[in-house]
Amino acid sequence: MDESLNISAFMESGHLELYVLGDLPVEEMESITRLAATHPEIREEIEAIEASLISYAEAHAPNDPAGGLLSRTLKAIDAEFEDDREALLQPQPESQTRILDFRPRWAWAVAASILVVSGAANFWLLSNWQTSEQNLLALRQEQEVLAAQFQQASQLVEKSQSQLAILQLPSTRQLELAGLPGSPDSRVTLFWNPEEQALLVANAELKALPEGFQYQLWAIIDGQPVDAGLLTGLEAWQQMKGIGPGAQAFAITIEPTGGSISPTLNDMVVLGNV
Amino acid sequence: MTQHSIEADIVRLLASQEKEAIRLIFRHYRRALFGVIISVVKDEALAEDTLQDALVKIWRNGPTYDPSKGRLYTWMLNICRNAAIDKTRSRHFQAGLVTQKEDFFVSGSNLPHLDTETPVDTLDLRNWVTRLSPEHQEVVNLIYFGGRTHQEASEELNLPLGTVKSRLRKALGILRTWMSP
Repeated sequence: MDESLNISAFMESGHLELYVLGDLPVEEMESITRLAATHPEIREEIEAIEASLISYAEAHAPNDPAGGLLSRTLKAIDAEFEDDREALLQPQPESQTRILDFRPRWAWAVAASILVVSGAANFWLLSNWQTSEQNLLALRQEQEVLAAQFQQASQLVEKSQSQLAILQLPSTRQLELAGLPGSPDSRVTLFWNPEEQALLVANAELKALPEGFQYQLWAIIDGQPVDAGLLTGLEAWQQMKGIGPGAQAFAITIEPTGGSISPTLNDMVVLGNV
Repeated sequence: MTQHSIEADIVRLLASQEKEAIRLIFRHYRRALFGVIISVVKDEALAEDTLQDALVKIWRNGPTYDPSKGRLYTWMLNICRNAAIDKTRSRHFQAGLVTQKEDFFVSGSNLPHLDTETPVDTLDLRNWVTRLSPEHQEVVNLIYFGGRTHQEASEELNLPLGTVKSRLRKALGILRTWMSP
């Protein structure tokens, strides 16, 4: 039902008239030809439009073309056909024959071998092209990996340079946090620049923690603990939160992963005064 | 034999360059193709020469006709029209007929050689054509006989492109309804 509605809408759209005039893009011409092959009502409409255009053209002919026209045309076709045949049968001029010295059979053999060679060349080019395509894809992937690695390395260099810049400042102080009775072997080195509000963990000799726990650094300012950030594992050179002037001491406690608002004092592992 | 099967026969014969194709085309389409050509060249003898040349071209190019890309009639019409337009560009034509240039495709009343010997069925067809308004004929003639694109017709007639398209569609619709009473 829907389709028949669409078909009648299509037939009234003016496309079939343009189709008959050959006035549509090739793809549209082809798709209407296909449609006409499966829908008799479209084919009939096309034929009716064409019949009307034929009648219109006929109306412009003053009368029938003179009777002799068909026989003249057929003679002209015969003449052309003869010309073609003579051109084909015409022997090669003597001089050319001598230079080339091709008998037809040879010519065929040469043509056939050219065809075979050309076919083989095509196949070779195609398979080469496919291999190249695969190589290109692999290279692209490799290049993406390298680009990502390069970006990581650049970020690392940048971070190191900014850390180094802090270390080079005369106002940067080195602080040693010593192990408390619960963990006497623990030791952490900090670099702190109060003016730049920069704080680095240079080295952390701490015990590995069980799942669900994390070390948290605190600054003690006016006797109150201020969060200075979480340690990500036990790597050296971690940048912590900026702590300005006024800190009297730094300490590290063990906290649940994600950190705490205030330190769990029982689990303090290292402490160092400024 | 239906129009459909005649066409299929012609297409098959053309594909193998059989002369029979030209006989069938002549029987069924000569008048329409002649009408198209004479609308361009405006001279009966010249139109006959042109039709002969065009039929030889149709026979020669027969194997290249692709039914999926358009109607057989349209394909033949294009060959005839191009042959006719080529004729009008020849020196001989321009020397003799240059004065008629202005009258090209002006209206249905400007048809060549309407005389007392014109057969009755031709007169009926004439009447049929003149039932189309001059504005409609002008657009149909330029595009159908003159082979102009819609854009070219719009420039030549100094009409907006949309008007050309709607007039063409209207005119073809009117012709179509006259075909099926």
